[in-house]
Amino acid sequence: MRFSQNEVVQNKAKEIIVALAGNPNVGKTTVFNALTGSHQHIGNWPGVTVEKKEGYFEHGENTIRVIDLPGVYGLTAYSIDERIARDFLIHDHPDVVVVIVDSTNLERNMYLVLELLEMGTNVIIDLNMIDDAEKQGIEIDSKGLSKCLKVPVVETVAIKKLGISELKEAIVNASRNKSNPGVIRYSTGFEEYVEEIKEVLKTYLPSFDYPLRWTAIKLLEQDAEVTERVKEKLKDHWKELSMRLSKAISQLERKYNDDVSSVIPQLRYAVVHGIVKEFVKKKRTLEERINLTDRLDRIFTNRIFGIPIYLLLMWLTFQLTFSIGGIFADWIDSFFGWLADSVGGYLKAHGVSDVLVSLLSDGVVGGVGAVLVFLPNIFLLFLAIALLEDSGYMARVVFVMDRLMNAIGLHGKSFIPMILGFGCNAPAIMATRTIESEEDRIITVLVNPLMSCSARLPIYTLFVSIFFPRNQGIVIFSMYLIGIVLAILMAKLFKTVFFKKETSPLIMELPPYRFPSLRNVFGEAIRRSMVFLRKAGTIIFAVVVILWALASLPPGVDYASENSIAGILGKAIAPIFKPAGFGFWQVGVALLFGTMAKEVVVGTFGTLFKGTLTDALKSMFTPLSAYSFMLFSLIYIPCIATIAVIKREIGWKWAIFSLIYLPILAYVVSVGVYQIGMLFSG
Amino acid sequence: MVRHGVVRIININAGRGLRERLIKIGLVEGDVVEVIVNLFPGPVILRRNGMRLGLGAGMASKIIVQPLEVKR
Repeated sequence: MRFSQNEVVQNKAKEIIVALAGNPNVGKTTVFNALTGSHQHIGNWPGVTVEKKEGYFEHGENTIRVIDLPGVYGLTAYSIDERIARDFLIHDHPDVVVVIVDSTNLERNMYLVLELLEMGTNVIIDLNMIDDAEKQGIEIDSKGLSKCLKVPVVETVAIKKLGISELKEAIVNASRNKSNPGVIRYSTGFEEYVEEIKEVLKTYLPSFDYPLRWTAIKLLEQDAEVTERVKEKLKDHWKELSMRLSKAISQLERKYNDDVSSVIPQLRYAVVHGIVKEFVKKKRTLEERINLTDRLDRIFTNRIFGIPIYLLLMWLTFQLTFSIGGIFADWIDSFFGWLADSVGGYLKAHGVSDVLVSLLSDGVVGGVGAVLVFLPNIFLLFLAIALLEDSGYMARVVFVMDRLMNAIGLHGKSFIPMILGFGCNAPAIMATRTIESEEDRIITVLVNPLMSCSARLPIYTLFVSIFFPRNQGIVIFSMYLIGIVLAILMAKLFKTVFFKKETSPLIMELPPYRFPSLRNVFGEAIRRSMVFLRKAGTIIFAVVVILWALASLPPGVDYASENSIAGILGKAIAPIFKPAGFGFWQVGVALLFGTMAKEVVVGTFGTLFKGTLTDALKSMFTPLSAYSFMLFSLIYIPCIATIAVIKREIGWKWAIFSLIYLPILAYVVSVGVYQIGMLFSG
Repeated sequence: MVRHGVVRIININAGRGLRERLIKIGLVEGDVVEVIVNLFPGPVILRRNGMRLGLGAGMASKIIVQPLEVKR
């Protein structure tokens, strides 16, 4: 088909903005991925998405911009992720909002639909996971529902990409003809007050960004933001409205004998119950999956076995990471050894200058190769984390850890970022956005760098393979455990020193268990491993080249000797580490450059020691000082990317604070372990 | 809330904001729920229709229930 110039320009202007909204864990991101062909991270627990994600798709001549939002139960925000969703839905006026609904729990999901309809949003209802509903004997009359609410209703199974083309069709249609839903009426006892407030608004605020009915209801609900906006607009007339409002509220509270903030949700639910009663039929079935979930919950969250089961799963993860990862790591290691030799030999034979040969074989292959060896371990670790996320177990860990976390003044939700931290601290810190209390969030962010992220894994693996060959799994497991214990101790300390408020309560929906989708799990592990590879090709590569240069300069100096710039630099720092058992200049350099990315610690050793890595480390470290060094690398500083995220999430002040407390803690712990260990070893 | 089985929620002794949140998530006085896991005095897991809700210890202790059918 051909378009004239004009038509093309016009078509470009036809961008439709669609927001995906819905309760947590109903599959919004799965729908997003199906619509846009993206690969955003999904998981079977509430709170996976904590920021706005954007994607596009084309449909006919239209470009549709899709915005995936964090999950919300209604339009009141209690946490940062909810605020992001609320702000977008209220302020950005998307052309269409697709409300993704979990078909197995229409009742709870319809609450948000109602709130959006009230606001005059152009809504499409997407009954997602419709296959699960059918399996559970739930029949939804989607045509009837659509007729009753006067909005389009589409059925999808996003994970299997079923119904997606119908959804696209519905989005484009809805963007052309905005639906005109009927007014949802509540009980007359409440409606009279809505009408009263609406009339006042009509007089003084003839044009407002939102339907007056919605505004009136929000004012009665005492929504802080809406109240503030109306107050600003009304100026002198606010006093009158405010008086009418407080009168109405006190009368309502007397009438319903309850707080108005609780009355209105109950009125909405009354309407929802009516809708569900009319359009949802529940046949009696065995509800097998629910029974299975009940049984699994009784095991995984058992009073006595809950925590041991979690520890066992963690231990298994590290065992697998080592035993299987080790096999592949050996292959890669010999490959890089061969590569360094043959590249060096080949280049030398062809008369390439010694400097360049050294850069390539010592610097690049030695340094980057030393890090890449650990790709299989890291892949397996990501695989295990993805399994935890996809199976539904993740949400249970929150529950299991709630008592323990309560003891330090946080609640179980703070444990999710801690587990995610085993993958990477940066996204883990973002995951704290679901924590409602700002104080709890700050504490959870501050202790997150104590979680052994995958970048520490190469350091641990390298050292245990040399110094603890028989107990690799256990020693590494101890690193993770010490990280958790230190995090808990520090959290307790921060809570008592900086904040004294009470713990905020934990309310969290638990998803049903499901058999992990292998495609999701492997896809996720591969994507995260690619991030690691990219890091190896960029930042680690760059740092290694710089290091190589520092180790080769000034001209004429022996490569990687004490008199090179790297040597001088290292010697300046090294004495500090003497009490911890590793006062060598190479270690100083490694730790210094490790702040860029923790993998660089290993990369530095690879660059400085070239092919003699194992022997060189053996000559410097004893098992005790190796352990003390592993602890130091765990704690001493967050990598640059993590510092940036800490700053963005909770501000400079706390970012600087973590740059102070972590090195001190690291020093105390590693010196302590080394000195006490020395006493025992005589 | 010191039991398993099917119970009716009699009272939610929580503050204003908390009660509002529970109601919005779909839990209100008069509801009949099944207690799936109860780690008294720790957290509980409740089931109500298709929803499975985990409540922390502090939250759970504020909900007063009446047994309808006690299991085990």
